[in-house]
Amino acid sequence: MNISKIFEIIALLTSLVAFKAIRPLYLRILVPLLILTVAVENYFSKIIEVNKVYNVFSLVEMAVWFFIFFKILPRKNFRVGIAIAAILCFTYAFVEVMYLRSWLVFRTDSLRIYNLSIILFSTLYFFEINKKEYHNIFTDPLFWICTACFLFHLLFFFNNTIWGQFFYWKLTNAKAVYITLQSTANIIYYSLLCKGLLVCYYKFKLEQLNL
Amino acid sequence: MQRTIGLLLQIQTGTAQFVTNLVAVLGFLLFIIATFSIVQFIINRQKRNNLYLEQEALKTSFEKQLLQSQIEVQEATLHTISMELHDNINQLLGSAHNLLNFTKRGFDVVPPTLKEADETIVKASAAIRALSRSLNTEWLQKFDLIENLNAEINRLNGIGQIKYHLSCTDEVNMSNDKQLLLYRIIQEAIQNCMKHAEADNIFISLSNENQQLNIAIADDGNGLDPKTALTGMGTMNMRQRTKLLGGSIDWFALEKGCKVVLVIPQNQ
Repeated sequence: MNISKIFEIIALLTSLVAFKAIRPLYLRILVPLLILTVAVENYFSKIIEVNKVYNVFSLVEMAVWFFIFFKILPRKNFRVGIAIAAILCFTYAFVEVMYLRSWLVFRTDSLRIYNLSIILFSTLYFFEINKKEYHNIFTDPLFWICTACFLFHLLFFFNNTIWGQFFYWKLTNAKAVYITLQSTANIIYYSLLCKGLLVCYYKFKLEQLNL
Repeated sequence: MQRTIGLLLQIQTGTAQFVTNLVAVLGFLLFIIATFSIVQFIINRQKRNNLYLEQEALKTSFEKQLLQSQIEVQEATLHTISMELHDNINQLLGSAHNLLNFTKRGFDVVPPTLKEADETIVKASAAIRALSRSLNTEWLQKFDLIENLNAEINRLNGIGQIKYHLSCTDEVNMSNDKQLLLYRIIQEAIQNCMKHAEADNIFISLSNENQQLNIAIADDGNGLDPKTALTGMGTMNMRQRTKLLGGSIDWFALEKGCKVVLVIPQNQ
């Protein structure tokens, strides 16, 4: 079994254990997303054409993360930006799979716009907490979730860029490099998601003890 | 020719290998730079957090020292007044009492007004002694809060205009200086009731709960207008003293009268 899949399952188990403790409540949407991720990686991708599955799954994932960042960033102008980015990404994604490519070809271009959007939103959150006089990042699950997104989408953007280069696939060990980079991104992403969920869990336990 | 083709193929394979390695290195470099930025961000944020906490601790310590010195000055003033009352005014009243006694000897039948004047001077002297005691810091530090409160309530009940009720079921586990601070807060609350409430009864209660001392001072007087009643010097002093004790103070309007509630941690 691929090592990144182990981390994926650990993240899912952590989310299930910490489900009741997940605060803010909108982060609970991560639990069905992780269930879907595990199902896609381990089941659907084996019975349906893999690119078709990933094209559909990435649309769901995109919707979930746009919703989460819409909730995380509280300022009105940020929210307007997120809404515009979401509309653009979805429109481009549909155009790409319906007209420019097909459901059977992985839609890397619209995904790259999505990657950049998430990197931008995560950075905005970092700026927001950097502006504060005091902010304990070790007790802030949102910081760890944003860090997960930032690092994952940075590597994913890089990988999506090389995926689209036709000459690259003619190079020796191209697939191995691609898989290694993607696995690294996945491991970091799921580890940091776990960290965020565990912060929620410990915060909740501490609140219960104080009560 | 074949050799040349073989060489070219070798160069092509080598270049391809080099480009793939370059892509891999670039990818990991990007990842390392991003991770380094995040780590740097965390370190900087923690540094700023620590600096902020240090500044806050300094600010709190400075405020505490300021409050402490204000209270020390107040206590010194009260101590001077107490000494003046005891050593000067009480002595003058004693002299007046002696003079009246001397005058009484000149009469076969002492006039009732003279007798009443003498009795009034004796009462005034006793009241001043009690008041002097309640203001005297050194005297207060020898006794606990409950004893002092009982003495104060007895003194006030002796005046007779308002009925004072004290109920304290538990011991107070605090250092003497903290008990003194608390005593001054209660005194101020009682003074406020006396001055503004026009009450018939004042109820004072002390109880221990979860290592906290709960004190309530209630009256059955005119009640409370939070806009005007809680802006005076007395209430400000009460708030400052409560802050120094690490507790909380709140005023509540009752159906008839008002209530001051103090919650003071005992283990601080």
